[in-house]
Amino acid sequence: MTEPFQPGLITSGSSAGRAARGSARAIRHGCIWLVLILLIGHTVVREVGSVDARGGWEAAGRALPHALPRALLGAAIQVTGGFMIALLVHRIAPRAGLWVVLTLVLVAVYPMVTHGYVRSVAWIPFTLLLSFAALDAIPAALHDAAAVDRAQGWFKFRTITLPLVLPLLLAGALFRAVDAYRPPHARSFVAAYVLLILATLAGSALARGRR
Amino acid sequence: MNPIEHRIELRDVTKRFGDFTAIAPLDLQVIQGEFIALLGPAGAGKTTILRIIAGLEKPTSGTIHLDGFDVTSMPAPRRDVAMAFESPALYPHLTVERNLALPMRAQHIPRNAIERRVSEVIDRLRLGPVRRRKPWRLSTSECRRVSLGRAMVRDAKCVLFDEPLVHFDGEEREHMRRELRAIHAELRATTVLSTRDPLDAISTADRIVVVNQGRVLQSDTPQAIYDRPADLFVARYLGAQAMSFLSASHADGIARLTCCNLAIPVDDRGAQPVDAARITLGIRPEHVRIDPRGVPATAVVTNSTPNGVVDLRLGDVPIRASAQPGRQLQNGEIVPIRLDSAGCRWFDATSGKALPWRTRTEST
Repeated sequence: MTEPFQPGLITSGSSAGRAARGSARAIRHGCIWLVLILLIGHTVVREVGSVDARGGWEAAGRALPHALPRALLGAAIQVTGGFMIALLVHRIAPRAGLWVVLTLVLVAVYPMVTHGYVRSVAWIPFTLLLSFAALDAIPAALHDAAAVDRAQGWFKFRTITLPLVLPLLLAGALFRAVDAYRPPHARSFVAAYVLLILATLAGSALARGRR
Repeated sequence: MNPIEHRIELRDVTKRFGDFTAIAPLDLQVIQGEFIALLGPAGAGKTTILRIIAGLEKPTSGTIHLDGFDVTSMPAPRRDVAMAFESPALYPHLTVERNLALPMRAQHIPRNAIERRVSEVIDRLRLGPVRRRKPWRLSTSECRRVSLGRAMVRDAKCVLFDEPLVHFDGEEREHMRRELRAIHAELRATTVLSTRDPLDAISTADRIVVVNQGRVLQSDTPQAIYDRPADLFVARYLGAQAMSFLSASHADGIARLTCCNLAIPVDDRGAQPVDAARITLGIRPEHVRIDPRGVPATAVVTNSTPNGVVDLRLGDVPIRASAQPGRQLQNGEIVPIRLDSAGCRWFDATSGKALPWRTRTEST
């Protein structure tokens, strides 16, 4: 897994700073794995819980391979889509970008939310905004360094840009996956709520990186 | 076509940021294999000059030629100019090794050649123990060394170092100066370094270009700049043995020091000051001797330190002299001094420019 990007000046750390970074790493990993385990665990429990109503373990067996991949695939599509648009906008108008994005969000969200059949795609403005912020957070000095190191095009994207924004994108994907997976019935509300909180924690730990 | 004389050539380059003029019309030539130092205070425009050469900044006007080709509108990656930043702009997600390898990977150099070269650079810059660390686990000086390494790892047309020595202290700084010199002697890459420290410039470069307020004040060998500064700014800025300045007036081939009424005969052919009553004598401590035979001026010792330089007061003006070996001076002691005529430099105090005068007699 790529190392998260730490914005700002990179300086040496004291031993206390290193210890803090170590524990941040533990929190990050803890949260991510907890979210994944709970996502899968919850799916199982929910389907087992519905055994009485609908009968048979087959339902559980059928639901698990469907619900989770659907959530993950949806998140992947949303994040990739948002990121690609963000890359484009950032390239065309790096400075006016934020306003462009905000306009896009307004234009995109309204009709999409009202038309339910592209629910998933309606989340692209969210991931777009996230991606744009991540791209924007790459210090100009690194772009300069890349330029004098003759890194350009696909090579630069692959070795510099993507590794630097990936932690934020993954945080966004995780968030979206959990949200997309949200079960429809009320008794699962608490479980979904816990999942969301955990995903938020994991996301922020991911985005913050080792500080 | 003309033969290529200059590897880097800036012609009439200016750069403005809004109302602020960072670079006034500036010309700069660097020949193939030369090592020059841009020397000047903070805000003199050194970094901007380097960024313009690298292609990270577009000049407001003027042209840049590399090897005789106009590259003014060529983007940085195509110019083949390597640069080490002061910031030092390491890739935070890559280890020391991979940071160093990146410029070569970008050029699709075979993997084993990259590994060999990266190992060489790591040994040179004493980065062995930290080669697998990421930037956040490096000390400031290690970060600086990685950034220098990244600039010289590939065989670029020219190499730019922005304040390469600023974060090193004492012995390490000495070592890095020798390393920069040694690396240049080995690779013969055309190198431009920027620094605020005259000693860095003197001990590394073949040629020093003194810059202030976006202008080149003087461009010459370190010795020539030390011996014959072009104006008061350069005279003040350059030299570990800082010049002392004494104001004087001038009439009929005689310069008269204001502080002690000492008359110094000068050969004033060549140039006249704007205002004859306002000239300045600049003299380095090694040319001010405490000498019983050279009587005319007497000075009071204000501070005697073991570094070979004595602070004196001549009338009410401070002046620094070289200490006499084997004689400990007391503060407040009155000593006779002698000014070496060979070391006297005259300046027009109104314009700050050097006057090409010779001082006539041996002892004043």
